Amino acid sequence: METIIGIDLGTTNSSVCLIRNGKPAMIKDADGSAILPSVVGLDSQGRLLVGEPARNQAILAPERTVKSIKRKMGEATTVTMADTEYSPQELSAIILRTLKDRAAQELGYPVSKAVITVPAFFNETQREATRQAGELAGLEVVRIINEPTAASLIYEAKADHRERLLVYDLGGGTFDVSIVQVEGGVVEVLSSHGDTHLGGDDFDELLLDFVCQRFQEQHKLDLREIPTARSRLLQAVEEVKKQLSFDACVELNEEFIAERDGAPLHLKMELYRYEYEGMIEPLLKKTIQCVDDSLQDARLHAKDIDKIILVGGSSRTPLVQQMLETQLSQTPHQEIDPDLCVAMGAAVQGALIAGQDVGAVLVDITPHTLGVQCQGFVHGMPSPHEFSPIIHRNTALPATRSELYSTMFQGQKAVEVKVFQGEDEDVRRNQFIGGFVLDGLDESADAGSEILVRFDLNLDGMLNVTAVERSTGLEDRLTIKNAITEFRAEGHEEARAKLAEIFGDRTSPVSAARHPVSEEPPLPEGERAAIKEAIQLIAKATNLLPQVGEDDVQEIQELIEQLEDAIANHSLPDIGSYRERLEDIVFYLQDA
Amino acid sequence: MIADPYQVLGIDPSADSEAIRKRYLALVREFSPERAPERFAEIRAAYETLRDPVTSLGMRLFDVRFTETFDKLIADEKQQFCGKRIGTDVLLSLADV
Repeated sequence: METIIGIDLGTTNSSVCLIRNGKPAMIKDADGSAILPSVVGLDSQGRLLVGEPARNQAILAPERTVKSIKRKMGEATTVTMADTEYSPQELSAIILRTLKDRAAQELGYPVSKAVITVPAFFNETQREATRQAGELAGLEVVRIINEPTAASLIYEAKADHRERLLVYDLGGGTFDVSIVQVEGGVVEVLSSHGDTHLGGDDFDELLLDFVCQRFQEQHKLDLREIPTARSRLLQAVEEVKKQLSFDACVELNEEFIAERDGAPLHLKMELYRYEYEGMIEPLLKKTIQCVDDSLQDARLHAKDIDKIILVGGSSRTPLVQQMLETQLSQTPHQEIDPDLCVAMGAAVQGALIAGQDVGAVLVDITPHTLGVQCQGFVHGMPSPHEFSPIIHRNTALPATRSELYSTMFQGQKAVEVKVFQGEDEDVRRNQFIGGFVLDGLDESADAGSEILVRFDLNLDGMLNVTAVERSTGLEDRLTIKNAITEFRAEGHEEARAKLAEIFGDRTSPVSAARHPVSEEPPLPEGERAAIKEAIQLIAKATNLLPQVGEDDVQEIQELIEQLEDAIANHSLPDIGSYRERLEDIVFYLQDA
Repeated sequence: MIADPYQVLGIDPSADSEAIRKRYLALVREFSPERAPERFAEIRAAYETLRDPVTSLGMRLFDVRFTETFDKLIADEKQQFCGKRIGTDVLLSLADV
């Protein structure tokens, strides 16, 4: 039987899972970690870094490192990494490719098919971009499934018992809530709400602003304007944020964060949980509103929910659990690691598609209403911007719906079919998906010649649109015209070539499953710590450079280079000796 | 004309909501969205019509394909609701009519 892997392509972390002996098994890297940080970078020699090494480099070389690319998926934009422009699809493809290779290495044979998860609230364009990323990574994306739905697939319900689950998924960059009903071997999604731009990253930014403002009051210096200080602090506040889930107060201590008039500046402050909770509460209130909306859409009350399932790293925040408990009068569940359950669910769905009998049949829905623009009424006033829904939100997939429209006047030659996604009656407040012109209509027809518009929404949440003039049978289909689909047409080959180059050339299929990063032997704990400390030291030393004499500059730079080489070669004795020498200089200069 | 939902589900018009739901779940397991998307869409559409007691009653009253007597309809409805509490969602949907 063919293997279909399940991939959770997250904002902060990604992971890959497959079904082994009927059970989901996370695939771990050489260090034994199932999680791959969703960070991509190029080192000083232009070699590709993915995951932990890229994350470490982010402090030193933010200009060569990209984090949280998922937040840009579906946008027609590019990101600069080491002076080269990359599309969000390309960078996501690098992460997917790394996971695919990891799976192939584990299995001993190449994999080519995957189920990839996306936030339930991702729109058409964002889904399309995800699919493209998969293709660029050399994967056939057999299904795109919603993250909260995937998570619900691994909760085994009792037979002949109806259970209603509320899945609260707060990740690094996106938020979803879904209400799911499990009964008689069928998992039905009843409703979904969410926000594709709300997550732990926003909490980090709030914390960063708070810290920087305080620092600015003291030192009249905005750390957010210094790229290296900013990326270093961002990583530091992320740690503080995590720690605040356990402790009421955390000390933030970053030495040599910057310098002014030749004097080094240190950042040292205490952060209290209540302060942090005050910052994020407005954002969390939005998520609670979504919980209410999804209950209403499912026509359920809080008491009808049998279980609350928490998904995503940010759902570990105590305030999240408190607010949910207050709202729904029951304690949320976290039995399965909230970081892993999405990938596991994706693997379950993959096995199901491959024909393995591993779990319940899934009935998912579309969380967005899809429709066309027409002449009509908006807020009771005549308007050419009326949104006429064709497939309503929370409709089960796959779905086919059609609606009749008519021409405006006699002799009309063409109609423009513009497709939108959203809930507002004014199309201008909804998301434009694409459109086409049905040209060559029967000009002899009177006004009111009928045009049938049909929407086919498939299991991936991808839309096909057909418009037919009923009197003549003239028909046209939507080839969505927007930046994302144009990228498929024009930039695809180019992007493939670019990725092939970045991953280096390969010949045999299994060695194709290896790339520079995963070839590295596993790092022992001691070495990992030593490297981390060395990197921090380099950051410190680099900050000192502007305020020291020319001789010292040269010496420091040489030592930094040697230390970087030592890190690259994993030579523990070299790292130790160069670090010692560099530390001495830094210590001496700092006091001078 | 849309297919007769009772026929699609293979169920008698006198079936109560619990029986309709059971039948629907069994069919979805057999014709899942993955394996039989078209058949699933039909089943789902039929289920959605019958799930709502107002639309299903309306259909049995007014659709030309149904030639049941009023007495039969009333007997079926009585049997379904006799001694049972009517769900809040049903009452709410009746209020919408």
